[in-house]
Amino acid sequence: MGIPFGGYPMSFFRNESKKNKKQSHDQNENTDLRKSGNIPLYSDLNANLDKIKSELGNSSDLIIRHFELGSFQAQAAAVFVDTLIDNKLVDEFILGSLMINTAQESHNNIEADKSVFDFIKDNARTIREVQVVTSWNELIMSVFSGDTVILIDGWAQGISGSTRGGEFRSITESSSQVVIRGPKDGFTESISTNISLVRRRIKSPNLWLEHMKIGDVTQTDIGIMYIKGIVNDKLVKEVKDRLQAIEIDAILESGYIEDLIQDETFTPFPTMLNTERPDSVAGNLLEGRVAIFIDGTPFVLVAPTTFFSYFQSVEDYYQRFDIGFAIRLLRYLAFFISLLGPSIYIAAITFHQEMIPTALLISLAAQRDGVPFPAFVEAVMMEITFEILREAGVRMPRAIGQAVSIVGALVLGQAAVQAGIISAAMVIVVAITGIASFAVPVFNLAISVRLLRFLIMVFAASTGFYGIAIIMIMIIGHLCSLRSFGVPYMAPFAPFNLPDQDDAILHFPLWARLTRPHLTGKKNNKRMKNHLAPTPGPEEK
Amino acid sequence: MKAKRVMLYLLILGIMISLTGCWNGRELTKLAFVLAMGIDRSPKTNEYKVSFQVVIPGSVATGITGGGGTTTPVVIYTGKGNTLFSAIRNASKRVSRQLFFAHLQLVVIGEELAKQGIQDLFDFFERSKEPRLTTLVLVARGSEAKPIISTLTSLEKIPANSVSGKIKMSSTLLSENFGIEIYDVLRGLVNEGEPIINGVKLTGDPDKGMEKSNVEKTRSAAEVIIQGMAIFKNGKLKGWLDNGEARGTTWILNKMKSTIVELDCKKKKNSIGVEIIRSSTELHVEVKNGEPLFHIHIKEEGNLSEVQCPIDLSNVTVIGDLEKDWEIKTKSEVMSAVKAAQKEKSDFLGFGDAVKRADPKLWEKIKTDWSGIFATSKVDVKVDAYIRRAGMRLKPYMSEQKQKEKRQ
Repeated sequence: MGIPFGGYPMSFFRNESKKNKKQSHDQNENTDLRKSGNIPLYSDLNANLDKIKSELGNSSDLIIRHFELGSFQAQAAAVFVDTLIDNKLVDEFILGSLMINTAQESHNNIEADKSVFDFIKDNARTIREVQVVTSWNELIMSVFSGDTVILIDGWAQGISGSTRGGEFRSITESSSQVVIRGPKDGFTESISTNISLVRRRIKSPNLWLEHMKIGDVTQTDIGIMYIKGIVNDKLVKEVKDRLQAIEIDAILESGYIEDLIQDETFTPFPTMLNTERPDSVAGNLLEGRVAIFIDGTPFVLVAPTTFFSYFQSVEDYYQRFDIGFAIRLLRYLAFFISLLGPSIYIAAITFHQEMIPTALLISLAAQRDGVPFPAFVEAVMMEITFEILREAGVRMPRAIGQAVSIVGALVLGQAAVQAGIISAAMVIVVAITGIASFAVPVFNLAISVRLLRFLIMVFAASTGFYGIAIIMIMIIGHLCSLRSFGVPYMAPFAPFNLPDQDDAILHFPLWARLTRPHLTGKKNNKRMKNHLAPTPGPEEK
Repeated sequence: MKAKRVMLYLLILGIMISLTGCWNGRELTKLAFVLAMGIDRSPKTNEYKVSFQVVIPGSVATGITGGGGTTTPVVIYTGKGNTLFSAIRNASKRVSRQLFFAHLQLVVIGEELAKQGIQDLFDFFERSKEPRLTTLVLVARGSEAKPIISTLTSLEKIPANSVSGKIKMSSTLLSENFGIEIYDVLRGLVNEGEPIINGVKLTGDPDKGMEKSNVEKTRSAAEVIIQGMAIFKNGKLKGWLDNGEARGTTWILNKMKSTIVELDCKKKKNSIGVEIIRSSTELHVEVKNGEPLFHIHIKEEGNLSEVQCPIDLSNVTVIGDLEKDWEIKTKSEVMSAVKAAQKEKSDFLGFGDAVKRADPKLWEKIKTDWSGIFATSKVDVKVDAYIRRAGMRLKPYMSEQKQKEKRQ
């Protein structure tokens, strides 16, 4: 673009594509909601209704109900979308407005100076929230949010009553993060339900929520939640800035937002946490993080995160500390097994046979006798098979799931070994690796481990432990270079911070975790009173 | 721009990896694991004759392959050459896989070769990256090394494991020998003293020992036994230590772990057994008139493991007498070892090193005629023995029998 005249053929295409874009953009403008946005409503009812119908292309779920306000001799119409409203509320709103109208007719004659518009607005007591809409943009937004708009002939304004309803999934247990001990409620697809679930947990006036709409077409509701006084204000500003910079047609899931505001795309490691658990969100808010709610998905984003936050399960905090501690260590072990398991096996049996105990080596050699492939090929075959099985297991209709596991276990596991195509040891290694990868509590990270595993296997197969060491140094270097909303990804280890060690790899008892993580909760660092450790009380006399 | 650079790095990385190939990778199925190595010298050509005990994985490992194949667990290959390494490479004419020495457990030296000298034998083991210096070394007693490693053993499928197991067990339970590794032998050859190497002996019919039928009977036709320790002079085999002498040597070298010492009970000879549970030895050199005097101080503790005569073990003086007997017995065994060493003028007891450490100047003076001085130098042995426990009962049941006889 910096070249003024198309000096080389490429520029020709560039210009053309640019032109095309412009054209299509122009076409879009006709239907773009924003453009018709700030045009005020007509005062003529029929003109308004005609425009609504034509703008929405006569959508069949758009209901326009005409009625007459008897005493005022005014024509009115209620506009709503059938599929988004709560029927009962609409009935009450319209009926209620009209009934009050007729019942108090006599009074109205006295207060004749009060207009019909204000009268209805003020008397719509049956509804929680009433707003006045003046522009097309507002009108259409509120209709599509599930509100009912009453238009009155002669008024270039409408009365919008909140009649949102329709079918939502009820609150069920989160399916992606299951706990044994702990609350069982999980987020749903409704943002207001989700926000309520967190609000119920943190009944503080400092729990602030900011609202935003993203997506030119979808107009998706986004909520940014944080605890004022704990959160770093710069962080809130950064999150808001990044969200506001998004200009996109649609936001359908939290992943859209994550992709658009995360710090680094070319990394296998996630820098934002997504969770289905309100208690997890509450815990993170209390540590000074920001939660981003997106309407239409049960996944709430949390930022910033560190590498170690992906190993924290909410249950660590609910179990007794020693058990939580041990299980967390186990999780790190599982992480390394699932990352390095096949690589270490490959490296050991193709490069470092001297490191394997003699008896084990002989047993491995016996198993590999007659296996036609080198260990690396064998491992890649098995790992890919396992990944396919897993992927199939996730996407498959429940009813077929059993068949897949039988085929997977029997055919691939046993038969392949018996046929001498795969050695039994490799099946064991792949199985351990597979199971270990499920022990990482956040699915995000588990996927990235799956990817990295193959990369490390290549290094292991080419230069053994030396290669594993090189790739691990590269991975750790990469991890140290990552940041999540200004927070170093490897904190509190790089940079090192001693007080934060209480809840990173280690896990101290609750009374010993006195402070919030210093990178996110510096402002209001203290979590609790000192010396809460249970001690014997004063002696009774 | 950034994506471009990432792609470039990935490309470089990909090329790097694919160019290295698997430069040093060896598939398990291309390796022959040598667990024992026998070294002889063929008398005619004066070449090394090296035999390898190669394990056949399929017939050793149980499990998927059906367990215990139809073949013998090991196979013996032999290669000849002027050096060990050329012998190993010459063996490739016979072996379909690469001989792999990282799991070598035993090196057996034939007696003839040991008599001719082992000074120049061990360079390969130090120089090559595969064999470990912790590999056990043995001298075949009265035979070549090859039949020793060719003999099949029961209980352990792999003969090398059987022999190393025997060395481990006999050195911890009997202490008439101790594990001697390549590193120990090298130290013996390089330092001021002489090496000492465990002996291994084949009894029975060596030809039958090679057959599978050897392990299909309750009593094997051929058996490999750990017996004695070989002593060397200038790297050449001079003789063998057995029983008391061998045990005395382990005492002096502070390798005593546990053993059984028999004591006399009044008139009944060797009727009380003492099991040593702890023993430590200190060697101290005192220089008197330009001549070294060696103080050996042994501290040993033990339990009574068997008492075959009626004595009153609750009496302190009885225990004290036993301890004294035990000290005398220990002393005599230690002295027998010293005498054996002095007779052969072979300083495998590490006395020379002790002098060198204690008085380097003196050592410079006497080192040229050390073997003569060693043969005549005085050794003073002091033993402190303690009996700690009498076992699960105090009075032997014999004492009660005695009383019964009296009553009748």
